[in-house]
Amino acid sequence: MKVTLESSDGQVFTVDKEVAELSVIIKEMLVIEQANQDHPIPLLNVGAVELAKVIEYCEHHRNDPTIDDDEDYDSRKKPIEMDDWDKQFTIVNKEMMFELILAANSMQVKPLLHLGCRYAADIVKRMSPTEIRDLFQIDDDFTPEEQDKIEWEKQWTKL
Amino acid sequence: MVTSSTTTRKGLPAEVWLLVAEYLNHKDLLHCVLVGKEWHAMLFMNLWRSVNVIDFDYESIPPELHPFGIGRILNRREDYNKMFRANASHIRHLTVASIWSLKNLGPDCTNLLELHHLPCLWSRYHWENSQGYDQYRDLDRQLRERGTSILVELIGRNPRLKKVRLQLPDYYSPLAIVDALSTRKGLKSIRLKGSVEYDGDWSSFPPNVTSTVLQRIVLNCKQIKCLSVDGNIRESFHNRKAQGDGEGEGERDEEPMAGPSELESLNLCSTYPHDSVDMTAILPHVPKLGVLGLPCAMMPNQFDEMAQVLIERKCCPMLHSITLKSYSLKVPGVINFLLNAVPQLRDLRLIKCLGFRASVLKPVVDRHTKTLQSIRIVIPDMDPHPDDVPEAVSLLSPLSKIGSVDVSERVVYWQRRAGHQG
Repeated sequence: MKVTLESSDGQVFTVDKEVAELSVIIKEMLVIEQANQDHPIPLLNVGAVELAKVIEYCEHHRNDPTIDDDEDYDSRKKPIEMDDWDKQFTIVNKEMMFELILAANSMQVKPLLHLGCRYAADIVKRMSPTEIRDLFQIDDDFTPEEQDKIEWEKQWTKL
Repeated sequence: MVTSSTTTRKGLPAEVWLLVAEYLNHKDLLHCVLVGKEWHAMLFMNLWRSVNVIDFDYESIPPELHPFGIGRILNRREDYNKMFRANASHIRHLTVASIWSLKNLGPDCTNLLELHHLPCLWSRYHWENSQGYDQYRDLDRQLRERGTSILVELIGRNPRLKKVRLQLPDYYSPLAIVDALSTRKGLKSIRLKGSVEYDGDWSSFPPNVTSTVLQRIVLNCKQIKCLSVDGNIRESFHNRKAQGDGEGEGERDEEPMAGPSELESLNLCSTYPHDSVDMTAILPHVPKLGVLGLPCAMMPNQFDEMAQVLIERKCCPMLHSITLKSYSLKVPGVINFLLNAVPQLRDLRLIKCLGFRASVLKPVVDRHTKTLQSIRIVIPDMDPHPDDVPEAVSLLSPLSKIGSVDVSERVVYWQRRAGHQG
């Protein structure tokens, strides 16, 4: 069975139902709108480029066992296996990856979201606060007093 | 085609950053919270995800020299209490040593996934000639009297607990604590540390409740996959008068959970069966058991009874891994057990067993050659026999055709090579 999806800029994609159902949001929509499947499902936050990429990911992972989120709350320390295909998939520029993370978040494609978060974590890792500020264009808005307080709080977090 | 790239560079929503934080270690997170107010507000709580407070007993070391920052805690206890309480709700993985620290967590500590209470010697804490020692000792006594209830309440407040490691003889009432644990339906792994006891007259000691503890966990916590009891557990080890203080001992209604037990791994290697543990009462209730570490030095008749239960009732068909620790292999029954009671033997570990001879074990290896995947032999360091290592090597060398044999000082280890099945 096929499902049609419409990106925010009006492009329509047709995919297998089981592929689309990797998105928790679409899965829930399909349950609610069972009788009414003639018109495409609108995805207001996802552009065509990102949607194409998300679908590419879902096509590849269509047969993966689903992750029970509660069950694995703490097993994220041991991240989901990343195969060669995933590694190839994440070779994109940062902007694209952040867009993909947003798309995965709004569509709730859990494995892709985790893959993206791992990518983002790898970027942030080993960066100094200044470097992170530069990367994300954030201002250092701490007052000196706040800075002191943070230093004080910090010392208790690793005993 | 229009895309919105570069517009949302810093625009990942907070819930996504929280997921990202899961992949960052403590040091990376420290950098992140220093980025700016927004990031600080968003990520600060993640610094408290995993907390180790190792406030051990280091007698006579001045507080400022204590390792792990405990001296700092003791010098600035008020600050520490405040921070601990304020952030207790963020803690998911907690390692603490003292009851005192457990108490300081306060009522907000409700999100624990993992609780590890180290063997704590804190009651013996004293700094000679130190100010405040009397005060400390009073606090110590008061807390220890309330130790059971502090721990029971903490367990009761944390519905998502998955793993616990506890040192039981330090508390007043192990059974009350086990009962509290059995209300946590998400628990997957329990490790309890009892006391290591050797043969001797223990009649003047508090009653041994190891078997009761085991049975209660097996019958009431059916979802547990991994259970380890290291050493015998005694009721009220420190203070016998506390008996009866504990909640619901003795008169407790047994209400076994429905369905079979999920237990896959049971390790009893430092418990002493002639004192308390009755394997025949446990094995029939654990159909999924795969890994079994047998209690130390079981009597020959207990060994035979256990083998009989396994053979006649076929109650643990998946049993595949056996660990024997500090056994004398000369005891009749041990070899028989290995030959007949575990038809699918895959992993065999003989830890510091006496009377180890290749000729004794050869029939076992021959019988299970098809299924065996690994054999580990650790030679005892006390009472060694000069031939032990050569004997172990000669036992395992015929298997070197289908696997690799490693010999290092006192450990001889064989593992089947991939692709050499049967």
